[in-house]
Amino acid sequence: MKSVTLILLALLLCGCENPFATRSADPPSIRRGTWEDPTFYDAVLRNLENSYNEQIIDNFTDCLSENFRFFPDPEDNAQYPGIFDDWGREEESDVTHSIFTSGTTTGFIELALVDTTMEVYFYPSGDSVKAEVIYDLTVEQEKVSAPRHMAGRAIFFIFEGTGGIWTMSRWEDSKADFSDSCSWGELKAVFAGG
Amino acid sequence: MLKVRGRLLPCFLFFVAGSALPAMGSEYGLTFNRDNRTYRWNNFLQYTGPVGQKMQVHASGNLSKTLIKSASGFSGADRWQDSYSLSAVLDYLLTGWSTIGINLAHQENSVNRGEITTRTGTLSSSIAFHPRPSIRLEQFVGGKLDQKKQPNTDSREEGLSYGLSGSWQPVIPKTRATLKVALSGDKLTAGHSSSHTLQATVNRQLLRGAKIILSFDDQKDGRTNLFGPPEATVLKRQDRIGRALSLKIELPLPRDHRLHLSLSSTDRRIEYSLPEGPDEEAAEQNSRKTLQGLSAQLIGHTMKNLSFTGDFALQGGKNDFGRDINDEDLEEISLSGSLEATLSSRDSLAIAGQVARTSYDTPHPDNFNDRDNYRSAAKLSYQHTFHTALRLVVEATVNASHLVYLRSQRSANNNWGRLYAIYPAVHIRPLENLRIQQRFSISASYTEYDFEDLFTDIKSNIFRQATTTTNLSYSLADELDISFGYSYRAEDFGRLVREEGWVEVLSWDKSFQNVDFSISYPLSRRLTVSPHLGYGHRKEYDHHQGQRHFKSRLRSKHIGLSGQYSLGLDNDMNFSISRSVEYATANPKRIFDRLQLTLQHAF
Repeated sequence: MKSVTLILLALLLCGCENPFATRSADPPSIRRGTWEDPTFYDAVLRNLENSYNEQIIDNFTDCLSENFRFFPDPEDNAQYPGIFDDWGREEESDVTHSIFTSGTTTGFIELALVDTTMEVYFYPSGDSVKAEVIYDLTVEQEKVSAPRHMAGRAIFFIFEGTGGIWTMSRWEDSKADFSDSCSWGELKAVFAGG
Repeated sequence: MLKVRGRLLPCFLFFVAGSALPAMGSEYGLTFNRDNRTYRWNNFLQYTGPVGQKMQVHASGNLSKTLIKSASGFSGADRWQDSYSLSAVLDYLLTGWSTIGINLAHQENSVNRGEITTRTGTLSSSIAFHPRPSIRLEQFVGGKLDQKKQPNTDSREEGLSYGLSGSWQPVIPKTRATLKVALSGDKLTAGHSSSHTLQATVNRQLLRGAKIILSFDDQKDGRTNLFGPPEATVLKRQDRIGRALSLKIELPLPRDHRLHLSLSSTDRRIEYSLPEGPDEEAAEQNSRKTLQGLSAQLIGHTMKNLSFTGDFALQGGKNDFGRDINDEDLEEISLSGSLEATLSSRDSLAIAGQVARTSYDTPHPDNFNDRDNYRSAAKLSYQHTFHTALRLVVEATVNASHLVYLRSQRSANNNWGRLYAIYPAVHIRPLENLRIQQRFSISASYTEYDFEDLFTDIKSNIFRQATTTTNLSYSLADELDISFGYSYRAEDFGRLVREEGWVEVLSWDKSFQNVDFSISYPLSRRLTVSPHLGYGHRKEYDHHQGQRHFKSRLRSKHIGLSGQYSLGLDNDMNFSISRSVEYATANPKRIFDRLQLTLQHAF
C-alpha cells in the first residue's frame, strides 16, 4: 500500500509543471552594456561609472553588496532631514532607477570618477579597499527642481566576497567646496522625494 | 574661536557638575582617533543617581568633533564637523504608581565652524502612571526650538512638542496579550511632524501544546519640511506608513514532530503632499510596496540521533511607484530542508538544501524588466573528533543561480552562475595552552551567459581560488599570549569559450601571502601592551595567447602597538598606534598612519 502511494505521488509530481522553472526569454536585440567582471576592486568603480553613463540599472545594482549603506554629506543631511535615515541597497537602487529613467535624450548622464586613491587591506578571508574618488556628474534630466551638475568627493568601501566578486558596501559622500555645485547625495535626495 | 569656546563651556560645566555629584552607574569617556586625513575627538558623560528619597536624575552629554584635512580635493580646504548634545531628566516619585518629571534636551550640529548650523532644543514636563502592573501610561508636553543657519537662508521655528503612550498586558488564562499605543509629534511654525504606532499581539496556548500567535503593527511617521535646493525650496509633507499583519499557528504532531504555519501581509507606503492637500507633482514620488506571504515548516526527529526541518514558502507582492513605468509585481516560491545526524560520539553530519524562484512582472509596456531569478543551494558539513586534541571539520557547498530577463531589450545578460566549494579545517590542541587551526578552501565559480553565441565579446568566465590559513596561539603565562598567523591564497580568472564543451582561456592569476605576529605582555600590574607586526605580499600576472606576463607586485608592511592601562575598577585607558607602508610596482611608496586614544571612567 505504501509503495502504491509513493508511485502515485511520483506520477502526480511528474505530471505537474516544475514550479521553480524559469520562463523562456526572447533573444537579445540590443547590447549588454559595458561591464567588467568585478574580480578586481577597481572594476567596481569602472562598472559604476559605465552603469551611470549607459543608464543600465542592473549593472549599477550589481556593484552594491547586500548590506550596502549610503552616508550623505552632513550639509545634505541637514538640508533633507529624515531622507537618508536607513538608506540601504533597496533605497539606492530605487532612486538610481528613477534617475536613469528621468531623461529622454541619449547621453543625458555623464559621470567621471577621477583621482582615485586606493587603500588596500589584506585579509585571509578576502581583501577590502577604501577608495577615495573625485566625481563630476552631469544629469540633464527633466525634473525641474533637481540639480544638474554635481561635484565632490566619494569614499567607497569595497569588499571581496564569494567567488572573488568585489562589491561596494559603504558610500560616503562629501560635496565640493565650489559654491555653484551640488553633491551626489543632493541629487538622490531630490529624486527620493525632497 | 570665541564661538567654539562658548559651545564647549556648557559641556565642560556639565562634566564638572557631573563629577561632583554622588554617583550611581555613571561614567565619562574621551576618545581621539586619527585615520590618515581624518581626525575625530569624542567626549561623553553619563550620570544616573538619586537626589533625596523621591527624586532621580539622569543626565548625559556628548561632544564630538571631526576634522577632514584637505577635504574636498578641489581647494584643499579643511572640513570641520562638530556636534554636541545634552539631555537631563529629573523624575519625582509622586506616589507608588505615578511619577512626574522635567526633561531638557539640546542638540547642535555644525559644519565648517558654523557655516551651516542646526540646533534643536526641547524643554518638557512629563507624567507617568502605572495604576496596575499590567497598565502603563506616559505623557509629555513642552516647547521646542528648531534653528537652521545656512549661508543664504536662516530659519528659526518654535512650537509645541508632545507625546502620549500607553501599554496594556491583560491577564487572560493561557494567553499572553500586549497592546501598545503611542502618539507623538511637533507643531512648529512651519514644520510639523507626527508619529503614531499601534502594536497588538495575542499569543494563545491551545489544546495539546498547539499555539496561535496573531500580531498587528501599524506605524505612521509624517513630517512637513522645506525640501529642495535653497533656490527652489518647497514645503512638502512626507508620510511613511507601514502596516503588518501576521498569523502563526504551531501544531504538535505525533512522534515529537511540529508543524508551523504562517500567513503574513505587509504594506509600506511613502506618500508626498503639499500642506494644503494632495498634489499631482508631489505624488509622482509616492511609492507603495505590498507583500503577502504563506509559509509552512515541519520540524521533526525520525530517530534518536536524527532531526530534520522542511520549509515551504510562497510570497506575492506589488511595487507601485508614482511614475507607473517603474511598477512591478513579484512572486516568490521557495522550498528548503535540512537534516542533522549524530552518527556516533565522534561523528556528526549536517545536510541542507534550498531551491527558490522569484519572478518580476512589469505592467508598463515600456518597462523591459520582466525577469525570473532561480536559486538553489546545497551544503554538507561533516565533523569527526579523532581525539580531544584533534578535530576535523569539512564543509562543501554547491550554489546555482539563473537570471532570466524575458524581453529582448534586457536578455543579453541572462546567465547561469555556479559555485562549487570545499572547506576542510583541522583544529589541533596538542597542549593545554597551545591552539592551532589549519584551514583550507578550494572553490570554482562559473558564470555562463545564455546568449553568448550571438555576441563577439566573450563574457562567460570561471574564477578559481585556493587558500590555506594557519593560526597559532600560545599562552606562555597569565596575560602573556603570543599569536601567529599565515595565509596563502592563489586565484585565477579566465574566459569560458564554447568549443565542444567549455574551454578555459586564462586571463590573469595572482597570489597573496600574509604573515602577522602579535604578543600581549603585561608591563606592569596596570599596563598591558601588545606590539604587532604584519607583512603582506601580492603578485599579479596577465595571460596573453597562452603566455604568462608579470603585471604587478604589492608589498605591505604593518607595525603597531596597542595597550590598555587600568585606572581601577571599570576604568580603562586604551591606545593604539600603527603605521602601514605599501610598495607597489610603478607607484610611489604610500604610508598610512592611525592613532586612537580612549579613556573611560566610571564613578
